[in-house]
Amino acid sequence: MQEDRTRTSLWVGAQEEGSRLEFGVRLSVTIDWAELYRETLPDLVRFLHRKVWDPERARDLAQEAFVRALRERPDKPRAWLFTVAANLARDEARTAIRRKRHLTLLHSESAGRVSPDDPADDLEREERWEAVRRALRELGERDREVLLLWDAGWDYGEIAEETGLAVGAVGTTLARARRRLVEAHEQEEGSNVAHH
Amino acid sequence: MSHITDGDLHAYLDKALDAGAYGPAEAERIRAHLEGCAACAQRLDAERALRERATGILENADPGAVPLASFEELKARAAVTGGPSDRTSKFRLSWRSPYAIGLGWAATIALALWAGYSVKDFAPNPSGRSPVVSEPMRAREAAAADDQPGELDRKNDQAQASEVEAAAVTEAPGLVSSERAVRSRAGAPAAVPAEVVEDQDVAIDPAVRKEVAPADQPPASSREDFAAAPSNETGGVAGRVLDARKTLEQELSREGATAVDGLLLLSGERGSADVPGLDIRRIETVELPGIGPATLIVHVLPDGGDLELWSLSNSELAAASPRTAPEQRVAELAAYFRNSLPLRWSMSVQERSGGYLVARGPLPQDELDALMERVLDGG
Repeated sequence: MQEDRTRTSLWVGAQEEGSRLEFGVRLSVTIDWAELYRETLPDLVRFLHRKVWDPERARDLAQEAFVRALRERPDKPRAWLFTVAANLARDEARTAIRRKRHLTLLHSESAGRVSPDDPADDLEREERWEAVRRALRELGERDREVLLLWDAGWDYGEIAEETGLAVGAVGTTLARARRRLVEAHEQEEGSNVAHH
Repeated sequence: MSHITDGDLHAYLDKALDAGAYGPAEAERIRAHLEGCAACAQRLDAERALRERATGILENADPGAVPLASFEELKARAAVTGGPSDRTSKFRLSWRSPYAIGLGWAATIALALWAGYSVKDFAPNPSGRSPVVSEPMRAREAAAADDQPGELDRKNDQAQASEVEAAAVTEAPGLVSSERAVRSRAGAPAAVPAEVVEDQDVAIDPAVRKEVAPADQPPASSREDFAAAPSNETGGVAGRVLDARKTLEQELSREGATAVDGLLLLSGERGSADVPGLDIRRIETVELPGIGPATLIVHVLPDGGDLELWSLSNSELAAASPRTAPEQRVAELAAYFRNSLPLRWSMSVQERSGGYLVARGPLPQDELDALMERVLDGG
């Protein structure tokens, strides 16, 4: 029987104020997995969608990652979830397995199709995604990752830890990534207009 | 006067300055500059527009409302193929694991728990007294040892947590400032959190306190121990903590924590150096499988490399592996630490009063031995 709440025992934070050190020692932390699921999954799906460009696959990968988290009970579940989910997406891309429902990944029977009913809406949305997808591909890998993590709600410190960047370099990376994204997207739009 | 970089402008717009990603002085410098520099203020407007445009583009790629499985459904799925892994896995030692690195940040400094041990082991003990372990703590440890096996991990966690508190009080007085800036949040009644907020004199973000919600009251003895902490002894975690910028709030939100059983806030002036001349990159605790808990203080070598100092206490080792004779400890520890020794690193294991000290780093053996001597001699 899986428990909905788990406890981790120790964590410490510190900050420096001049010559003074300030410590905060967290003695025991309870992680409410149900709440974590509610709060994190939408961000995770959003993050993954920018990698797999398929809402259902993003949802399935996110849920699979969460199932694994429930088994592993990592101490830092949010970072763990994003890392595992990103690896799942990358592994999937590497093996070129893109068929839906042919994997063992969780697929909720109760979950329906995401696509809107109107084919015109569907097409417009696909075109919109494609433009963003192409623009994102113009970014360097690290810039793209930093931008997507920020977009998924990560803060600078978390991004720095995940990517190995210095905290002070996250802003620089984001500035560059945003600029490149906007430029590339404008080029996409320009070429689309010319094409039409 | 140097202007603000694009990166800093974006950090400002992303409210990373407020969240503690930058040091207070640097954050203030950026804010002050933006107020007084028309050119940078203009650039800020341009970068703000860029940021909004980029955000809008990414929103164009939102997946829309995606129906998710229920939490219960996922839980059932997880249960089909097995429960949580071995509890020790969360502490599994990995010298360069993301977990270990993650602990590092901005001085995710090791615990008061271990501040206790580390101060005791790394810094000279001016009083010459043996560390005091409170009777209530011993009682709790004994109670934990008597528990059913299935409860042992949880109890150990709790006992360890309690021990942090006790150690902070009884073994790391150097962390306690002369202003007596130690407050036991864990001991504060849930109904009167304002008392704690008003009473403390450390600058932890108020939002952190808001999130702190004691779930289990610790034994009253903990509060008493805490209140009785001496405040006039020297010592303490030494060196300059690098990148100590994050606030507890970030730590809490990052972990998805929804409740905090207890929070101690300590404050203190830096004391003597544990390795003279070397900065501290981070401090953390690690549960070494088959060995027991250890405190790791990672120092920064002049070339930027890491120097690891591991501190293990006799009492903890004895509790973790009671069948190992004390005379076998050094060999056991040497084998354990050598097993994961990176290439071109040296190692030194030394017994000392109250425990053991292990040094590892990318230094020639003779330099490491000399450094260890300096540590053992107290600088």
